[in-house]
Amino acid sequence: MAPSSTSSEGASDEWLPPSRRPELADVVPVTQDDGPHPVVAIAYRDEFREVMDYFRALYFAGERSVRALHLTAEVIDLNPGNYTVWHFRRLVLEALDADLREEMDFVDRIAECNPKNYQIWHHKRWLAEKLGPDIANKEHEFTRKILSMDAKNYHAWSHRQWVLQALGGWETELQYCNQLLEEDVFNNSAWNQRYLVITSSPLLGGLAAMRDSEVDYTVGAILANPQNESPWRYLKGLYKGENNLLMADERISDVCLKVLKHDSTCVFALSLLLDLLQIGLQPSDELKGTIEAIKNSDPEADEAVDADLATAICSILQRCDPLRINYWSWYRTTISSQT
Amino acid sequence: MAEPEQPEFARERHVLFLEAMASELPADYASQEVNHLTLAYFAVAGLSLLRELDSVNKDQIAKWILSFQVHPKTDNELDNGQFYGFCGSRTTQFPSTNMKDPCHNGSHLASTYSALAILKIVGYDLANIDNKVLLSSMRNLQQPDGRYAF
Repeated sequence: MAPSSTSSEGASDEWLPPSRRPELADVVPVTQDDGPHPVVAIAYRDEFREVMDYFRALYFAGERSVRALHLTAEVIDLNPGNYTVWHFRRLVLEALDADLREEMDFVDRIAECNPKNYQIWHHKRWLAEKLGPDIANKEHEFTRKILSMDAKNYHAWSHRQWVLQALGGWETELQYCNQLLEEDVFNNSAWNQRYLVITSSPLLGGLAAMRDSEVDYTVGAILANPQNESPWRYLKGLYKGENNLLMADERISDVCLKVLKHDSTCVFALSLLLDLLQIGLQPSDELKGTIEAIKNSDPEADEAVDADLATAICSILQRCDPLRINYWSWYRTTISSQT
Repeated sequence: MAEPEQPEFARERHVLFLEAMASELPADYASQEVNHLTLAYFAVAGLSLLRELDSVNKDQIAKWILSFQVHPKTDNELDNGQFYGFCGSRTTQFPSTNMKDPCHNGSHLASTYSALAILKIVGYDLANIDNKVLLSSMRNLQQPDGRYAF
């Protein structure tokens, strides 16, 4: 497909090589110097080679002009990863005092076809910084579109988080997280974003103010899918640096107990219980009984009956989390050395 | 031809493919031009893994790689905050004397790795590389939090 040219007004116009354009008649193209013996040479197509030769001429001359702007658009179409061209384009945009909203539309069209191109996202940030908070919602719409096609696109998430913190648009962000998690409760990126919103939104009052309702939300997600690691990690995150609160909240040990009654091999519940006990949780009789029953269900168990609860949980974890058997074995030795 | 019971590694086809790539890349790779040295690394390192480096001209490769190196003009330039390594491609290696206002020297950390790896693979004596310049200027790429800019 021939590259499109932003200098062409008619959509039906055929692509015209730079050498045949009147507005570039005075430009002497500069060929690429590959040296006498190029290795792994790239077999450029004629149009690629010619557009680059004309770009090179304007670039060497440092020409900040409308025709340079148009030519950089063509080069970017051909090779969006060429960061030298993007850099030069920014110089031209500044020199021309160009309409940066139009530029954002231009770059968004390219970004939709190249959603993981570093240079494009870098250019978008540069533009957004200049355009200011007025552009925040439009940027959120854009990342929303990209994330609807690829829920994990790191560039889109990174841009979204930067726009929130630098330009705003927090008003609807928690609702956006709710929507994403309703669509896919396993979307760890959405859980990560939710954490950013809860902790950083200037509209919500911070983690302490939101913790109670967030715990309820998270416990619900855990009970719906106990094998989903994301809400377990999110739950611990809600108490980051507040171990006493984590231990004191009965909902935490309760959800572990509920899960283990249905699935005694749930590693997340077991390891969270272990954390709680290490913090100083006084286990209820019901909890003790549940752990004892799980431990005794292993016919190969050779543990003394009077082993403490944390040690018993470590033994269970060694059995049902074999990937980390060495870690749990080590962990158990640290418990033994404490008593 | 009888269907082999076990899939076999198509060694000869890999060798031919990598030899072709080491000589010339098809036009579709133009969009990866800024990563030219990385493309070269995959071709040369692949041939090396297959013990087929005799099919390439090692001296030519070494000369080509060395032509991408960026040198500070004076020792004072080492203090200008830039990295003096290897460019990743001709496009990012615009000679500053030709330009009206050069922005940076085009050195690229990942491409520098590719360049050094290729030089070692083809048997170039790395003692000829000014590693002092490489290492001291590489520090300029380190961010306050420890990460590296490329």
